[in-house]
Amino acid sequence: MKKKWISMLLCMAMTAAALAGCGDSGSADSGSAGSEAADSGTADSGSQTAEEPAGEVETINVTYFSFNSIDDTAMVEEAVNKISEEKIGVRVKLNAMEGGQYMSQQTMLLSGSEDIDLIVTPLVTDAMNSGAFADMTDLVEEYGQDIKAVLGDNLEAGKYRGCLYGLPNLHEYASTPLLVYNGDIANELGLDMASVKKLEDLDGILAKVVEAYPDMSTPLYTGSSSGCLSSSYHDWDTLGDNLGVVMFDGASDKVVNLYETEKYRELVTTLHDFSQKGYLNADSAVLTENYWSLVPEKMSFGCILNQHELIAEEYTPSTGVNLEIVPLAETYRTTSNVTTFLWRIMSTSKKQVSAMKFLNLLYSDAEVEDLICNGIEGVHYQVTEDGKYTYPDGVDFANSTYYPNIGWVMPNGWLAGEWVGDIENYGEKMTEYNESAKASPAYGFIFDSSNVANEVTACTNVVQQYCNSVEENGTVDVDSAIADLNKALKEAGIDTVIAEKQKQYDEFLSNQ
Amino acid sequence: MNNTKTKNLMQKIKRYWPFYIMMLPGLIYLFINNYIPMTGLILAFEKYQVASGIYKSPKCGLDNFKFLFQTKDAWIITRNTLLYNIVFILLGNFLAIVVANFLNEVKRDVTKKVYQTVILLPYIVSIVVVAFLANAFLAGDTGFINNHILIPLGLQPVQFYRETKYWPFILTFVSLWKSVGYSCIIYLASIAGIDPGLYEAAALDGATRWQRFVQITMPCLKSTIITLFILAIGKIFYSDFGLFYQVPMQSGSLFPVTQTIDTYVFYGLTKNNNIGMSAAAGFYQSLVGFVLVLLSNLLVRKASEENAMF
Amino acid sequence: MVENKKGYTIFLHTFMIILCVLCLLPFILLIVVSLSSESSLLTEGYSFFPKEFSLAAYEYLFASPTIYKAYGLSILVTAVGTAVSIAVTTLIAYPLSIKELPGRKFFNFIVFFTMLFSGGLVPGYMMWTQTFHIKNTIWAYILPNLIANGFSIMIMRSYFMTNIPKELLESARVDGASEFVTLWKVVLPVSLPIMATIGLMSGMAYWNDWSNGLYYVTDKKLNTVQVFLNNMLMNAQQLDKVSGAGLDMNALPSTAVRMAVAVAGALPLMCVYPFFQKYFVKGMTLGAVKG
Repeated sequence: MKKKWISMLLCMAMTAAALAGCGDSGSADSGSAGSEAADSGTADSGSQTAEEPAGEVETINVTYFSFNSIDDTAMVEEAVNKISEEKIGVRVKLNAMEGGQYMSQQTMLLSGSEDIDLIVTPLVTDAMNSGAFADMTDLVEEYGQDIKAVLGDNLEAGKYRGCLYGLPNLHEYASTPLLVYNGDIANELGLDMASVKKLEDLDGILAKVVEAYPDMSTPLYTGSSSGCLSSSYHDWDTLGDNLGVVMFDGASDKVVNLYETEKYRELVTTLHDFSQKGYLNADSAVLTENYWSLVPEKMSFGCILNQHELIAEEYTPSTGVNLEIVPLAETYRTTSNVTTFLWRIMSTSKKQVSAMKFLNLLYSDAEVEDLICNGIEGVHYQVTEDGKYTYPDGVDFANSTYYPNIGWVMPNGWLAGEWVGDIENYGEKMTEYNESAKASPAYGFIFDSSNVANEVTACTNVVQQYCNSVEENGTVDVDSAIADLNKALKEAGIDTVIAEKQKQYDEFLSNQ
Repeated sequence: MNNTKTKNLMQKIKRYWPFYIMMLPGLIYLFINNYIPMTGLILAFEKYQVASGIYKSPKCGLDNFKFLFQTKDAWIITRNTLLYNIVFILLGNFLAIVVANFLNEVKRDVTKKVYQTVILLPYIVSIVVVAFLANAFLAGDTGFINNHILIPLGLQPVQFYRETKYWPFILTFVSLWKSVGYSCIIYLASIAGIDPGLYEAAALDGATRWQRFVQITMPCLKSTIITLFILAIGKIFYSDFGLFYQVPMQSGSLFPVTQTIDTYVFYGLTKNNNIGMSAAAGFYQSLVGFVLVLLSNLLVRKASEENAMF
Repeated sequence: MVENKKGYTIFLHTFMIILCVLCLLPFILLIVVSLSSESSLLTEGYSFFPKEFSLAAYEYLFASPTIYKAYGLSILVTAVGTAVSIAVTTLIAYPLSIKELPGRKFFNFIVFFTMLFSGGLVPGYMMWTQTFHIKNTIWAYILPNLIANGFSIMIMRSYFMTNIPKELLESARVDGASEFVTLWKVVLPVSLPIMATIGLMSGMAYWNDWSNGLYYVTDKKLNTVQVFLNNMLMNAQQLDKVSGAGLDMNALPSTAVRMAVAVAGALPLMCVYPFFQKYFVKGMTLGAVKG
């Protein structure tokens, strides 16, 4: 037994030295070793993949997910293969998974046990640390010319420790803290929405709404999946998890403890006031319905969240309510916004070149993109006179066999055809919005939490426990509630997390 | 001497070989399904690397375990997990035996069938839906308890999802409600297996119902009860994740009374789904359970040898 | 004495009826909610007497052709899985009940140990998918659940030990019957109650299982009812988390649909259960008389 332990220790010492680089990045020394090791790493993967598959057509597995109907994926796959085999000599297996299933299986999909070549995932730092993904730097250079043209500067957003582990898809790259509200009610009550410039200004507005609709359960919707309003409505760069943030109006090179800032105190004070006046839902911590289903029933007036400016226009058709927005602060582009979904090549893939070729096609080929996003004309949709798509006769949302609605996951969903009721020229409008946004000083920074994983786990739990009662409960005292939260965070080790973040952030800034 | 022993053994094996053949499919299955993956517990001591796989990833000693013990949460989650489990085990088994005993005494088959089917209902409903149903009763503004009981009585409505003091009772109630119908099946089968003659004889001797329950039913159930208890003790460091995660609707304010080891691990690791740390948590739970089972089995063996499990 | 008996019977039934009401009320609420219109749910919350009834949830649920196939597959998986599971369990439990079997303690421990330690999800997943390739086959539902835990083996073993008279086995052996024949002709007929119990438990586990489907089946054609329904619920939960733009909120099953999902999953079992229970009870009495 003793011997085993000793050999284990030896093993540890030996492997710790071997860690570095893109192929098998460890956590030992980040950043500094990055660029150097990147070369050796990619040279490695290059030698593996450089051989062109002569003559033989490779079939790659493309894994993604949809929350809607994907029954006819095999039919679409066939049509896609016709095009891609002709254009790039690659066949694909479209592995479309149910969204919920995909999310809960993610750990396993990325553990390297699957035969996947191309996959779309969120940021998943831990999988990047475990070396699940291939470095795409050289592959993009060689086979991804169209990708470079489409993504421009944002290509590098998925860069982590000097290695390109993923490419962002085209979607909104920025967010605005804003209020979405029911324009019909605003008109009816003659509310002066133009006067609203910041959160506090809503007071008078909401007072009138509550007076006119005393039964409204949730005048101001603040729910979010994580239970903390500050994670879905924020006027700072969360750096991914709100544990150590960069303030847009503070020192741009400083990582600060959000929960100790004056800004947070102001936000909480306003919310307390709102809560006491009955603007928030009594059960704001456990809301079971989302805003979009409450608003048509006049159970909610407005919702505050970080989103892009087209959100109101986007939800107007499905809610049947004339939604409008008011920005409550400036628009910023942050790493979290750009990296919601990244397209990756698995490091275990033996067909990385083919995968890259197909990815390039997905970013640039309207026909392929349209097939995957909308299916086959005449079967899954028909085209109206003005070139918009609609369901074929006798087909609707409930019984359609292919209506994946994945424009927001696919590399370039803007290439696919638009449906009746969609916002026209969505891509152009979104590009305009993206370009109008200021870049956060921390744009491009991805925090590697592996050195402080224990502290992050503890702090996440503390935040989860305290934030709702601190932020949205009118019955507690603001200052003592914030003090309690901070005391618990200190015990959980938030200072260690922030120090580590600051260290990595300094490195990031000095490399720019 | 030694020779005869071996000879005896050979003879025994010769006599019993059909039994080994019988066991073969099951043993092979357990080996594949349970024992091979157990080697994966090594993940708890590793920093997992895709390229190296489960067995060759770099070792990191006990680093993965630290997060379980580092903060004062460690005490709270351990306490919650243990206390809830103890209450669930005691009350759950008690209720199951009582209900099984009652069911066994229902004479009419149809009535019995109706009862048994109805009390099984909660077991079949998924915990997500149970959470919705609980919410229907507990919600702050639309809930039954507030709207139809407290307010009509002129009492202050209660914000259940913010007040920790009610939750130990709510969770215990939900857990028992959901599980009793199922767990009484096992006891029912054991009770039905008891020779009715024993009861008749006792009744003739003038034993009361209670005496018959204590002196006939309970002794016959003894080995079942002991088995179930020892097993439950093995799982005492695990908690019913769905119950503690879904039913309180993930309300953070309730954490001091709803957070268990499993939910803590889940909340902490959802962000970065660290395989090593999850494995460490599982290993810790298994290990403590294992030790406790060995201990309780030892105690049982001391008390009555035949009821010990091994 | 007679008075007392009557009083006891009243008490017994009162207790059982209260228990049943407690179990039934939420279930009735569940059914009522699944039949309520979405707008009355949003404005009034859950109620036993909703303002407006609607079948929309069920229409939505049964619009997908997949669900009918899923019911068929569920039945198949449950039937095959339960049969194989009972067979394997019996075969391993019976020898373990023979006190003289050399190495019995060791084998007992092997079984018992599996209930305490598990390698966790990831290693098991890797083995079943990489070595045995059960992904997207019907085996994905059957194999990982075959002996869900050692528990069923343990109770079957103790049933054999306490309820099978040794003389019965001895006389079979004296008659020259092989051990397999003894098991089949002598042991099994008096073991129906435990078979019914194990079968019931294993059948319920197979019918209600959604986790194997979640991990090992991505092909929608191979969905069982529970997997189909669970995917629906999970989509809703996850969709709330991914607040991506351009999401079609129609994809979110409404509250009524979620409840309809629960009813659709539980109802078949509820309808079938009383029939199986008949055998269950019959087996019990049979076992009791002969044992």
